[in-house]
Amino acid sequence: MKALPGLLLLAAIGYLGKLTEQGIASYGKAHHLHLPNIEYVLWAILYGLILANTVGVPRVFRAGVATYEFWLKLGIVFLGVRFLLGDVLKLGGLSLGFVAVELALSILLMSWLGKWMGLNPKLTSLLAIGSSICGVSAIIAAKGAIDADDEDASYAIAAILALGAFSLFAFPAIGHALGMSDHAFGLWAGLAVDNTAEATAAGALYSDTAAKFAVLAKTTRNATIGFVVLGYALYWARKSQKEFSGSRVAFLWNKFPKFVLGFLLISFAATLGVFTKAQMADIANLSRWAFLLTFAGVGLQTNIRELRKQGLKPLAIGAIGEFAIAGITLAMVVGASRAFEL
Amino acid sequence: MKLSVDWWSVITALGAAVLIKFGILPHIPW
Repeated sequence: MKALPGLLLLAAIGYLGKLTEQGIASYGKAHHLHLPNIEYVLWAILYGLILANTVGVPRVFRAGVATYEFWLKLGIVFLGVRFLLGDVLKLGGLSLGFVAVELALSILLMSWLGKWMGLNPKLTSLLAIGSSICGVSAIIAAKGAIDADDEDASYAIAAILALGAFSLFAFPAIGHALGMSDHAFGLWAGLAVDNTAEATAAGALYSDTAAKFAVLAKTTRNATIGFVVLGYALYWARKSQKEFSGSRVAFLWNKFPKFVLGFLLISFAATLGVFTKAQMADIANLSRWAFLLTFAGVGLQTNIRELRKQGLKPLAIGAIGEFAIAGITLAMVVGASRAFEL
Repeated sequence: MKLSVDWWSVITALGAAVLIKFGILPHIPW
């Protein structure tokens, strides 16, 4: 019940975003104009961002707005219905290889940049984890595991989200300029954008198919969260001479994002033909409604002032690292799409 | 036992999928 006002706010902002998308499309149709199709996701984020950073979000709404993480995960589980195992297998090997390269690259690059610029080592670890796996949940998971400060964690989250917001505008423009296919673009967005909501949004801004591949690459990255966080936890535990208690398997299971299991289960059921075509469309629509709430929440949670307060060095390191990763993954994907005609 | 957001998202989604499968939830428009 405490969450109700905030939920209504998410729904109102998200729905306004949907109306804006439809309004622009029907205006263009009526006047025979070719207007760019800007999806509801970006409008929802934009409206949320403006509201949060002008009038602010009153306390009564906060509990409901904080549920956006649930809607994100729910939306992703539903999205499983659009991934038939055949598609996954087709993409599997190549995408997995790319994910491995991206992980190694981001961790090495961020650690080196942080050391080189004399950044606090725990913040460096958080930025490395955030940029290699998945912005927010990885940072939250890692924060507990390596005992980092709240300020470091919120800065790392803010930096990852801000860079992701920038990529929402930059990525589709670059994709269109290079004439990338839906498949190639989605793969790139899933590899280079760090927040799951923003990676999905970047894909969705390009096309429905691109969103599909973005989520696929992104969920593969997300699935490695346990291993990377475990590695960092062991590193920092050893460094602070603290005894690491409990079994490693239990630790991995604890940190493993469970919604990935739901996603796989729904995808498996759809592959086996459990749902009719109409039922699959219904489930896919449920995922759109869940994302509508998610993206309104992402906008509302982005605090521009908070970001400015923390100084620019970590953001600069984050930005340099992210640009380099985006560039290298773009080269990989474009190269692969030439070679294998993605 | 308190379930995490992750588990709730899985339970909710699977529940909704079952309801759709057996025609209990009506058609969902977009």
